[in-house]
Amino acid sequence: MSQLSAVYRAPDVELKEFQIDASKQHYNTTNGATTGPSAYVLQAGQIDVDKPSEGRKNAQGEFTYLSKLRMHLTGLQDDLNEYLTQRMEQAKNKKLKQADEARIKAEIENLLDGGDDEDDEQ
Amino acid sequence: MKSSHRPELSHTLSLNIPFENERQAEIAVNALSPDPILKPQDFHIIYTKNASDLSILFSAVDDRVLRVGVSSIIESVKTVIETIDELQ
Amino acid sequence: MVNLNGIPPKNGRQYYLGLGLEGSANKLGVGIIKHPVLPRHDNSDLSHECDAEILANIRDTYITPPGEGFLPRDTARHHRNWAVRLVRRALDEAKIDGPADIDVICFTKGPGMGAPLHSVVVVARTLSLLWDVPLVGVNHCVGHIEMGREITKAENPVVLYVSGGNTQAIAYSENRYRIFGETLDIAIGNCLDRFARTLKIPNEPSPGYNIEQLAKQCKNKERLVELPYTVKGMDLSMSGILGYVESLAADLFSHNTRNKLLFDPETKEQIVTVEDICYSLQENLFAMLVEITERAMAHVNSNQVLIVGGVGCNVRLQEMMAQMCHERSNGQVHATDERFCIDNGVMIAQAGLLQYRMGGAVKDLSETVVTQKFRTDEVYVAWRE
Repeated sequence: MSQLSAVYRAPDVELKEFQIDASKQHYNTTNGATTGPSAYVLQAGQIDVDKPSEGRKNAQGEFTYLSKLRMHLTGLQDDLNEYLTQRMEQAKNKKLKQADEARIKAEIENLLDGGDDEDDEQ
Repeated sequence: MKSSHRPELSHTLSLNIPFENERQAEIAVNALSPDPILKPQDFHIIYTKNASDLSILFSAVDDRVLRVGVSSIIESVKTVIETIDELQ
Repeated sequence: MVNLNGIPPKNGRQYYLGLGLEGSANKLGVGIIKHPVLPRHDNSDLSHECDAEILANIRDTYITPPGEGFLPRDTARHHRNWAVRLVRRALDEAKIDGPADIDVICFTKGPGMGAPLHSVVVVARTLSLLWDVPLVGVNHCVGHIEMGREITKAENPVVLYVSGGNTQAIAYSENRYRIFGETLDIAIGNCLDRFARTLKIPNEPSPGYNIEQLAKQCKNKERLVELPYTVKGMDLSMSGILGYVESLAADLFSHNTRNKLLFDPETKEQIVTVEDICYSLQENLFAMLVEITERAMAHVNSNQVLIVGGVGCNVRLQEMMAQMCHERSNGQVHATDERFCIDNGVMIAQAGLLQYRMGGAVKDLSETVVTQKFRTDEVYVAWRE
């Protein structure tokens, strides 16, 4: 049987693979870190009583294949959300940094070229 | 000819979900695919069934659109999985 | 005349089984209903006499903290996380072992909030594919109307549909539920819910219920707080009234003694309470509803009213409507209790079964895309004459 997995590509990322590690707790819960109630409602004092259901266990007391799949997918979803959020932050910082550098450059040029005018007395 | 993968949707994620059998994968494709994309110029999804695997190819104009779209579809996939698991 | 028996039940049975799934707002409902096959339905106009038996009516409401409304994303999460468990509970309560026995799965197609509606339809589609059972998409308002008709047996009443998302005065004519009067801006339930948020009263069991209880505690019923009265022809508007009562509440809480309506100009004593405002707000809004309902009744020459939707649970509204109906050639008001006036899955199954029996099953899954806007008069009411 093939694996639960994902592959990400972007102009600056040739290939990034995502796999799951079935032994880690992160991939063995139906309650994902990135899929809880929205921050807004938590701040307003919401207690979460609407968590996803637990997985189903068979007669031998083991989680069914589909329950495991759901839990593994929940962990993978968290990984994807966290990775993409990180990428978004990096892009934002890069943009801010570029905007800052452009601003500093413009200020320096202004000083070098046109600053004399302001010393003129009227 | 209309391309199914537009080059400007340059941020892509390919997700492979292995079901127990072909029937489950078929159900998943049919339960997920009817819904139209709100902004097709920013986001595109292709659902494919390969034997008992569901493959989903997401392509987006940037990482933000990709993240929102992928997470939302995964929520639906988990719903399909839970429904089959509990009610078949 | 109409034949409701054109599509026979499964397996040569003498009854239909319908599963209904509702999730257009913050209530998630799963209902299972049974319709016996009756000879009187071969050629008649009796879709309000189905002898429907309710085998399960399960509901869970998404509740937010006081002062907060429910957002689509969190509401959809609630529905996603509870849907399968509620379906399981409904099947158990209805004692259905083989779900493939179900004739049709009915789901709310709209109107309502997009993400929550979608959460529910994914479950409906999956079940349909899993059990090989046909699907029917139901208009939420028509669900309320058909449930109201079946429960109260009202013969062709004017329907006042009042809820958090809708305010319409409806009359049946030539296979359509036609809207005679409606809100020009917000729904009455929305008006009451938002005022409840301003007052920060709890959302459990519902904000409207809690406003009703506060209104009952008013000790100054003879001295109404004057509020804008905004009936406009057949329609009504409520956003102005909401803005006004919110400003009254703000003045009350900030002890703005310059507001002469709330504080005695001489003594600066508070002369109007929150209970008084709640009472006056209800009296004012309900009087407006009574007026547009009466207009609709005059147009179609009816003396019967059926109130459906969550706000229909309000006892004071029922009283005021009953008074008007009685004064109009001894008419009657019909209403259902909170099991059915509040959003539920059974009403979707009821309307869905009627649609199904008239050949309305979905032929392709592309027909199951949900829609936030879905006017009541868009539905072809094939099951009535």
